[in-house]
Amino acid sequence: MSKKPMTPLPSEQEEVREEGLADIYECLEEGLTSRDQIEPLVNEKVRSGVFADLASAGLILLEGGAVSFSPEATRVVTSVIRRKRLAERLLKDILNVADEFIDPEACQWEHTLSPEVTSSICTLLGHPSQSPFDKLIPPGECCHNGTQTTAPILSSLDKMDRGEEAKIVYLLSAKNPELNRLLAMGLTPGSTIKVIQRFPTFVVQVGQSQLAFDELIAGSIFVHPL
Amino acid sequence: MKLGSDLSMDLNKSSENRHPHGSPGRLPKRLALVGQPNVGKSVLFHALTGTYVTVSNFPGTTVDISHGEGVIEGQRWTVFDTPGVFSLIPRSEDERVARDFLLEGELDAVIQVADAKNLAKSLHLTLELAEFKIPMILALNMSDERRDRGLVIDTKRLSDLLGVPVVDVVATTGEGIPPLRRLVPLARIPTAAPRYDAQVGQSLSKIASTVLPAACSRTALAVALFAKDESAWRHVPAGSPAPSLASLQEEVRQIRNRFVRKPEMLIFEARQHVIQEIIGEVQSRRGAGSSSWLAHLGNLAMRPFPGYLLAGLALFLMYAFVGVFGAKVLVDFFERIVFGQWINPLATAFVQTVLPIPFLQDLLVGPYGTITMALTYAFALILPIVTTFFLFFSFMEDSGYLPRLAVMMDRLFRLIGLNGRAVLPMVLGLGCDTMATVTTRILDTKKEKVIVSLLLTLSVPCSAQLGAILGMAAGLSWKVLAVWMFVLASTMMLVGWVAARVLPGGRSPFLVELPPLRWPQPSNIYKKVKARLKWYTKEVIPLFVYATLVLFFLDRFHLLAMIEKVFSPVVVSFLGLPAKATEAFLIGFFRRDYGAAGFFNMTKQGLLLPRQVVVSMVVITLFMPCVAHLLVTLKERGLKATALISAFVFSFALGVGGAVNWILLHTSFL
Repeated sequence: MSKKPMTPLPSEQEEVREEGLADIYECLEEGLTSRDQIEPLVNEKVRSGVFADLASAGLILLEGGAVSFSPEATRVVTSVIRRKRLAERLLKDILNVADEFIDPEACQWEHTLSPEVTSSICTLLGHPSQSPFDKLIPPGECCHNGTQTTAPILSSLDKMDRGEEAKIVYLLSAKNPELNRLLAMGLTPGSTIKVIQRFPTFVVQVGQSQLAFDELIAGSIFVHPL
Repeated sequence: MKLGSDLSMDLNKSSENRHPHGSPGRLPKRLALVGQPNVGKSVLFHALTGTYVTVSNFPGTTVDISHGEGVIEGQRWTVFDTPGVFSLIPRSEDERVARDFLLEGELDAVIQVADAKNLAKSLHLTLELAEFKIPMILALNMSDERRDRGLVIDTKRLSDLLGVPVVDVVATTGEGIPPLRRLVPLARIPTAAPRYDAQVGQSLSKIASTVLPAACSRTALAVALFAKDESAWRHVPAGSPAPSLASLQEEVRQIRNRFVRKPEMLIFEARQHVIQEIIGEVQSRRGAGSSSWLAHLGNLAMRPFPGYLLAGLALFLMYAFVGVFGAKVLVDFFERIVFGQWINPLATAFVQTVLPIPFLQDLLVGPYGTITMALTYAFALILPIVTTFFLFFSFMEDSGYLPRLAVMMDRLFRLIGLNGRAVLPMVLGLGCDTMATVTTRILDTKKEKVIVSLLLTLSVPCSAQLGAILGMAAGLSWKVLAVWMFVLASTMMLVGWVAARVLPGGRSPFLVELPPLRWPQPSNIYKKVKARLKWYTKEVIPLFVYATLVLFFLDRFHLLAMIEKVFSPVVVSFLGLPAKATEAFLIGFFRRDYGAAGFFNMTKQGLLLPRQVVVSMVVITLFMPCVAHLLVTLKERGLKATALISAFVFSFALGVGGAVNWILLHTSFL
């Protein structure tokens, strides 16, 4: 599991830029190169001013009417496209979502999937190279490594080994009448928890406190292993 | 001091007559210590009032509200010690006691005692307290442990952010107590408040305004109702705007239902945001903090290896200190030298010259005399044993080992329908079953409380009795002690196992906070042992005297021989004991440790064979503990449960004793 912090959600400006870059990418893919051809095809929600914005940020280069990406823009846009097309595959192949709903969903996902989730989905789907609409999916690190198994992104605390550290993501509240007490004892989402032992009961370190509890409670705490 | 009587008295006072922010003089003002479990409220209480309540390094030691008087900065205060609360939305009976007291105790000030090394957790309670609108002070206790861990807290800045005085304290050594006393008159209502998001905030003010008439703690109540705390309804005053309680409840339910996420979580996050900002500003880390060998030992004590080994070692040390040093060396000294050669001969000579009436002479110094039997048993046989036990037990309590024992015992306790938390009442039961029965309040479900009450009554010997029993076994083969322990452990597991399956209800999950292992302060151990011995002499010795008087009159009127004859089929034939053993059982009805002392004495006089020693040890251990215990069980569990428990315990004690006798007679183990 990567030690990188979770990617923060993109701001509105970033989302607009990503959207614009993705649309330009798809046009370039189709063989269109000039700004005049491409601009009308960009999503109307972001169309106005996005070209000027991208150009002034140095993300796209406009040489004699032809559009090309800067190295930074290439990096950003390939991962956006990769996320979008992996999402399409997942939605279509695994979740059986009807075609007309796939695009709006995938357009959301392309901005929000974290690198960990993206490579897990890619691994889960067996590193697909084409989207359901026959577009190429840019390969990621996991495809080059040929990763065959995917570790769950979240796991309940009772699956963790002695000595492992994790970040608490959420506590199962329906199963847990002790919710309020757990929170008050310091088991709060976002805090780092270290498993000191698993037997005879779980013992964990949270901040400056040590807590002991049984596997019933351990099973209701969901964490992101670090 | 019990909460019930205290509160009913206060509620009758009209609240207009009180001066919430203090015209000096007249009424003693009212100050409560509030805080999470095991943060040192009781030690501070002692420092402020000079009154002693049982203090230990185990969460849940205080289950009632105690009070004491103290003069602080020239003003008389009544100080209240409350049970520890993780949160003011209560989950157990002791937490509810504390919350109710904040609502109804008409307090002039609150000192929040907090764990300085767990600032985030402490501040959650501060923000909860803020909504009760009571002037308060924040005492950051255990500042020594905070320093050891390299944590620095800017108390001045913290005080500004919260709007209340803040002070660093080390309650066990007294550091920081004088500044704390100076700050008591400066207590303020906190200005810091949780940052509720708009929708939550609206819901809370709606609950507060439409459901509750103006009261200073209305925000606190609204939060509790929003967080689905059913016990808070009791505090909703009659005459609220809405037509009926049921319609109010329906309204709150609807408000709750508007939220997808749990209201508890939303409220928690509203506090968490504020707290993270505060901590970012006031707390920093200097150096990594050293991890001591005590911390390592603390962790080792919970691993299967060497944890169980350490538990065994603790047991052995107890045997060596209480069973050998207390029950043999000290008892020999007191009984043979102090009472045998000095007090009893002197008292006898004195009584015989001053009181020429033989009846009164026998009453005081005869074979069933108050001095020669009751006081000799109490001071020469029991007191040395109880003292050594309390010394040992207090050391264990203060060291913080007991919660670790709870971890080690959790799986075993699951078999009998309990979880590891039940270790506290069970081990405390080794000190005194009566005290321990009160502590069952820290358990979460009724089923757990009944099972622990039953096992305490049946098979957990209290210190005095334990000492006498260890003393009985000390001179004999190890097999005597082994058989006794085996019979006791297996009956306990069997009875608990059956009870866990017969009684309705479930087991609650195991969850306990582990305090760091600490080297106990000798002065605190001294105070604690002193308080317990004082309690013991006051509580126990009168019972010894009454029991001896009963025995004396029965003997006078030749009833004793008759009773011995009547019970001889049971005592002599079934249990295989000498007829004189009936006397020990008779006084055992008053207190089973007195009965055990009787058997101890018989053993020392060589009246019992090893087999008979084992049988009497088993029966007297399984017996009802004492009259005081019976009364407490009656109060905590009610008449029906007590009657059932008692009937079961008597027949079971005799039955098991008979079985052990039969088995030992027909085998050549002893």
